[in-house]
Amino acid sequence: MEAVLRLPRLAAISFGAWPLLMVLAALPMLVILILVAVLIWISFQAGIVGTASASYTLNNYREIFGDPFVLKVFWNTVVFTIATTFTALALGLPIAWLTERTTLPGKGLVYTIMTLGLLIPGIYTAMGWTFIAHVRIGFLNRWLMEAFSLDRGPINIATPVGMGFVQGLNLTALAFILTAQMFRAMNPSLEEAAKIHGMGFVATARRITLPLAFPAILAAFIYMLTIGIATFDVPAIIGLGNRIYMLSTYVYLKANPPDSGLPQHGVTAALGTVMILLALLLTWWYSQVLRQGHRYEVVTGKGYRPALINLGKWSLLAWALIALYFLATKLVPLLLIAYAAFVPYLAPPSFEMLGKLSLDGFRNLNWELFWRGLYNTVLLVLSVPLITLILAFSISWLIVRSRSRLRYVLEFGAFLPHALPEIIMAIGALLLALFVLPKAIPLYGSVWLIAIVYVISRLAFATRALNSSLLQIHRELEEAAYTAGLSPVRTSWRILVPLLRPTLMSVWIWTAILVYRELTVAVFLIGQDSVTLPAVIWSYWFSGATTQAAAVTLLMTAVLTPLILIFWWFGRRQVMAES
Amino acid sequence: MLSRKRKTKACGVAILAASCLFFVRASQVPAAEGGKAATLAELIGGAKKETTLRAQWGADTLDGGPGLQKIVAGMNKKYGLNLQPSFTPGPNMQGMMTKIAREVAAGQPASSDVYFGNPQSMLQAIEAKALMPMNWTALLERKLAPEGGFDPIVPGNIGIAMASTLVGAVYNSNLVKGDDVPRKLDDFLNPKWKGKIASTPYAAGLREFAMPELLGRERIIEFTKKLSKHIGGLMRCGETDRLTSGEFLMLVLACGDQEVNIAQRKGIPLGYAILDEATLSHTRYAGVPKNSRSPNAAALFIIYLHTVEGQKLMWDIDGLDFHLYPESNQKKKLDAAKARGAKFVVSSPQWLQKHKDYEATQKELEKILRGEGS
Repeated sequence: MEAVLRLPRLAAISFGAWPLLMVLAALPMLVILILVAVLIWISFQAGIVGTASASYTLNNYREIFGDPFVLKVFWNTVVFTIATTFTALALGLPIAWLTERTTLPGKGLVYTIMTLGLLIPGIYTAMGWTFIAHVRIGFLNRWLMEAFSLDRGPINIATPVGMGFVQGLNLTALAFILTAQMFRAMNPSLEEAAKIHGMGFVATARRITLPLAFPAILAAFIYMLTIGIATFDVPAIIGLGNRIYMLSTYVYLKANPPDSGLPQHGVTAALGTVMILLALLLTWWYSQVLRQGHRYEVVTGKGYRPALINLGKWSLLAWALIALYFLATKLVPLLLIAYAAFVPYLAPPSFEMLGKLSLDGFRNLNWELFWRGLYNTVLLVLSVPLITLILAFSISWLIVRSRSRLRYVLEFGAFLPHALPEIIMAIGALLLALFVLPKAIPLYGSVWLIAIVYVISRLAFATRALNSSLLQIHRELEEAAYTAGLSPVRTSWRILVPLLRPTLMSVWIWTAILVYRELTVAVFLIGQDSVTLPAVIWSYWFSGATTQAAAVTLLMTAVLTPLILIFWWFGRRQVMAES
Repeated sequence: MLSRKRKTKACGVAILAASCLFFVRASQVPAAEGGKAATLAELIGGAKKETTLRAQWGADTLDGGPGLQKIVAGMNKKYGLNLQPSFTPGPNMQGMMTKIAREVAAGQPASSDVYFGNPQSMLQAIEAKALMPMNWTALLERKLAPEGGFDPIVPGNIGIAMASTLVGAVYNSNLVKGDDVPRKLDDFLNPKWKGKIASTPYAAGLREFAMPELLGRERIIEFTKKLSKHIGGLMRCGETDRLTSGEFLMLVLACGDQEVNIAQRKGIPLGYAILDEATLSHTRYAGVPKNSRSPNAAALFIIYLHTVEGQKLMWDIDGLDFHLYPESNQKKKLDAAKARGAKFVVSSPQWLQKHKDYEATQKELEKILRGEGS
């Protein structure tokens, strides 16, 4: 009798019936709201926030809209972001197409290379590219200068476009992942029809393939634009010393002035508010593009098997492109970082310097700091994905299964962190922990403050992925479980979690990787007890200890890559088993 | 018997409470302790009860973590302590003072038990009341007297000078040799250096040179405008790798010669030029944050650095010592610069306080160097 009563309850489920899920879903929403509120509150303050010198003012907004230098920073950011996105798509899209739509041999290896691409922290590629293409010390420029008797290197990565190129290389793996699925699912019937009508390869690509792929490409484009706006590592490593400022580095400098100034948190928060508005605009555009996606649907319920384009001898060229990508973004930077870790001081590679290689960089390393950083990084890599998954599952379940209008609020709230630049969330969290939270919750200086920001910032991706997967699981299964007398928690554990395992694993891995390589938040929230390895690298780099920065980078790669690879291998096994 | 709804609700509340408790427990840090010893013996007694000395400053200051370990090992041996050092790289001196001031205002424990600063950040500390007043002269093991109008004690007894370094230019000695080594400010504007030299974002040296006792505001503003168009970029004082790598050939001007002192011992190709026109002794200060978790150990750390062995250790690990002590290496360099007729001052918070336009001048110079409005 009770089971019969439960069925209609599930069909018209209300939020009140699910306090546990509600609490878990509401918790991150509350944190997001508080962070945004703190940010807006601070944007109207001058002086050191929380001290007697603070006062309310509109000057922060006047400064960012009235200062031509800030306008220049905005312009640099626009150029950088566009260059980033174009580079990532220019490389990621063809590789995705080659992998999914052609007979390219060794596709598993391509996936491995692209996934490994995600493991390399951006700071690392930026450091590597400084050695490759810096206008004076980059070996590429030095070769070109010697070959053509030039006074100055012809390639300059210390420009918004140059930095965008380097960041684009960082995001190529993401562009690949965002578009590979689209190519995999695309029904080739229209392309085949075009072929029958005598259209060539280029014409088919221009008139059929690209227009069909357009919404997915545009969605990836916008997604990466939102990431590009807030990118910190590449602009910090390459831009700061060359007086090329982006919004993220400008915010950093306002919060941590390298000069005589005091931190201008008010200006930082005002800029953050503007960045949020920009990102919200992009997010709205993104959602509009996704909604229009149905106009381009070519995947139907009918069975189909995408026909693969036979590459023939062109496979060689395709692999050359992929190898070049691997070489330029992973291998060469890694080799140069290794070189920097073993030289006694930084100088361009030469036979003389090779003779000076030693282990001094490692011997002089602050090992206590390294272990502390490693401990915190591992703690974050293990805890953040788990907490993210629990919260995201609660939110997604309510969004997908509930019929309450509040689910729209949850959906918006869960996607909002994607629009909030991490740098802004970090500053909000720092000030929140310092001045708003009672001392009974001593989050300031603790690794859990970083964990909270990480969890919030990864929520958008996790809920998006889980929403899609939950939609594919008919509620009949849960209703059957209820009929059999299972509690909501056991139903989730016994029915939903096994069915969602591939998605849960991929979200877990993705979150773990992003946590492992994250720098922006850590740089702002670093403390004695919360230092992470990327923050240690940054600190060394920023204080000029390049060889130590390189040594820690090598160690971090050596120690944590197996951990991430285990996740990755386990995840793949799970996905394969499920499929 | 509880209904299912109530059970679920209770479960939710329990999880929430447990999560809060977990976060509170996980992030619990000991509360800040006060501590003000009047004598060295009391200081040692207090330090014996403290277990850890937490330090946060730039990774290039006092050789970062390895340097801290050596100093704490020396202290432990001298005073019979068992302190554990814990170093975390942090922002620059001004940034660190801001952090400490913010923590004091928020009632949070200090990120660093000891604070290292320069004259300007000590002015910040005076304003923020962030450091603990202590009777430094009474605590020191040897006499430290004012000299030539320079008082090593920060007003309010909140800090004490512990080292000095001479301001000049650092250069890559493989790439800048012989007559190319600059002697005067205008030498940096030689067209052959265009785009190849760097300056600091905080106008190190230039801000002091702009004061009337040295080269004067007009001359330095004019020079900096030209320099800004001449430099290839900005770098911080400790980033000497950017000079050895050839990214820049010179740093105009540096905060001091300590990195070069260390580099030359290791055979790293760096040179240091003290200008014939002027130089200044850039003073390093130390103090104990009011919210330090180990205030006695922190104060003892500073006292130790004033001992003969402390000064030697500082010279060995950081290329710095204090020119007021007779054995000082910096004193010899300073005397040589004075003998060459260079205009000379010792920078201190008191000296900065005398120059009301110092801050405005520095801001203007920084803006010019950043390329804003030049």
